[in-house]
Amino acid sequence: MKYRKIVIVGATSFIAHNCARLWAEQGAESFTLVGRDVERTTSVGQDLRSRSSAEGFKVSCRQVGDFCSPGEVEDAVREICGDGIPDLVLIAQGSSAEANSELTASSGKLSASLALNGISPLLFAQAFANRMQDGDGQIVIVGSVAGDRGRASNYVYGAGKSMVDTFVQGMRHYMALNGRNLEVSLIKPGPTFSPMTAELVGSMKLADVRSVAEAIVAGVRRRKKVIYVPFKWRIIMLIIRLMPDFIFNRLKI
Amino acid sequence: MVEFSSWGQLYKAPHRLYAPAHRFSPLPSVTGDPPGGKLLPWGNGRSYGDACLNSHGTLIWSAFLDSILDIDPAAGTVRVEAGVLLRDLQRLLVTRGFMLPVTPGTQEITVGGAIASDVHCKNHHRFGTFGCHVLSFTLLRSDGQILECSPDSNSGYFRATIGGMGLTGFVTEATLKLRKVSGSLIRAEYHKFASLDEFCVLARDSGKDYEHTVAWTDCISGSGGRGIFMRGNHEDDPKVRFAGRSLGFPFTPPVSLVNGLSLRMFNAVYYWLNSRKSKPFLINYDKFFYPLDAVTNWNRIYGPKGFYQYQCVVPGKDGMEAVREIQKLISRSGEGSFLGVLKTFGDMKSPGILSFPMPGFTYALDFPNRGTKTAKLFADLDAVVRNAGGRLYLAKDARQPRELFEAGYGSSLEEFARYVDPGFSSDLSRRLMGF
Repeated sequence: MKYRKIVIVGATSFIAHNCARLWAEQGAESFTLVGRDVERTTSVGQDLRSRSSAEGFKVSCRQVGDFCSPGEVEDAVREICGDGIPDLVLIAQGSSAEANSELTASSGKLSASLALNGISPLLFAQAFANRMQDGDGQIVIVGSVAGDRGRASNYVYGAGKSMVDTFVQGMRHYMALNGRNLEVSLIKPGPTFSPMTAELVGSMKLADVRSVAEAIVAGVRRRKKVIYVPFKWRIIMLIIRLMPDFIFNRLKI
Repeated sequence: MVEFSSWGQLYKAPHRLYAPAHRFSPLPSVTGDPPGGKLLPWGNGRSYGDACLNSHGTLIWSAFLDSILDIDPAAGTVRVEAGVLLRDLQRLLVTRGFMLPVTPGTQEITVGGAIASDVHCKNHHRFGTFGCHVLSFTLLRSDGQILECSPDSNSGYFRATIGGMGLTGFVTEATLKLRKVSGSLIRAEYHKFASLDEFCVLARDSGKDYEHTVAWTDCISGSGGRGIFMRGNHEDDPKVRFAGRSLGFPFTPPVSLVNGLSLRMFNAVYYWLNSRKSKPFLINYDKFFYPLDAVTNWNRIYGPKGFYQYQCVVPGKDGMEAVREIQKLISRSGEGSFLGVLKTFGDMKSPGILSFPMPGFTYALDFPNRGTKTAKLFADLDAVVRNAGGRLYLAKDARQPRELFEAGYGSSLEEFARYVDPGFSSDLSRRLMGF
């Protein structure tokens, strides 16, 4: 299937950029890229244009200065949907760059992290859903395995991501009860090689971003509701979720 | 600190790693707190020796600079970020009727690495080196300068960076000239030869009508000098195919699997199989140009001690005498080589100041690391190269003595040093250039 209009929110995310490349190579007709930094977002657009196999390929960029501002998000989504309802929206912003201890030491940083990883994706998701719920498009949000169970090493980031998880479950339930065809999916990547994780190279095995993107694109095409990438994280997280506290609380994970 | 080793896997060394998220990121400070040591660009780590290592210093990894910024079909050019792999670029270009004019024996290298090593191809006699097709690039310097370099602007930096082994700064993006092709196929012929004299005849006769020429030589068969001469041209056929997934060598065996027995068997089988392909046949470009890419991590076959590649160029017509001498020395030493690639370099000049090729013959040989035995052989080979007025390829080198380096590259070194970034350094530059 060829997508007519794809919106990527947080387009400079390495995972999102790699998914967009695959969709462009497969013939998607147009992209709208939403980002904070114009120069970098434009650069992603140039890359998609070079790789696109579609005739009359179109790519446009929409800058959003504050991803956590309800007003800015609403304006951007209204404008983007004004010239055509997208058939696929990928929402990928987020940051795990700061250590948990830094975030818990400062209420300001704690709040900013929860806003960027939790609230911001949901503002976008709901704003798009309000306009897309009559069609059979797809909204895909990048969550994380970190949202499956709070762990000492990254529970601030994890809390933002688990908020997204709960919200997506609710949206899916709502769509089912109301007979809507809009598909809302959640992606849960394990640690993946990207600028955010580059400093872990050598101390931890990171998944190759290209294969992560291929798995996401395949899962989205099959309209799966939760996509763990790489797949092994579905099993690992199942074990971690089911683990009783008396064991869990002794593990440094 | 992260442990890195080069393709030859001769040693591992700790490095700080800095991977800029985008090409607009500044370089890290050389005098930071704590000091990160000097800087060196890291592309995909495919140079064999110590050119890509900067022990206890910082590597600037271009992994995230992998965007293709523009393809201009009318002008036949492409603008790319420096971390793009040639494999990804070629796959895209070939579907648009273009290819990179020059790629080396592996396409698992970055554009930045191809510029830094000024790589060459089987078509050197027609297209020169990679650097001959670089139109411009952006160079970040450790003092914060951003230099746009081309033959017309900052031309000294342009010429020093091509073949400059990453020592002049960090290339963030480049614009390259492409060549037109129709389709992905090569029409190839493999001819066996029994001696180096026959090789010379084949090389001379093929230069005019064939774009790609290269020979594999069997360095351990008793008679000496036999091999397979491979030549080919791009086929005019719009079909585009790609080689299937590559196999991987899954682990490093405890000892080198390359030894006298396995070499003798491999060489005999390889010679026999390929000597039966003298009729022209069609082969996809990736299988013809990059046969070793079919096995990822093939370097592991040499075991934990790693291996050396010895690649020299010996100039002029007398160069063939040196090649003969090299073969004799190898055969006498009993240190056989799995790969013995022999090729004629043409007289097309690269803009690179430290560029390796010169008109003559280039010979590339792989040797498992057997310590002093291997070192003894190399010392003998060095003498032959030096007497012939030749030099060694820096992208392959891990051990040449400084005096051979200075004899080979002598006249260019002073000019090159003027453009070196004082905040950049590598294990190779410290070993051979003193900075």
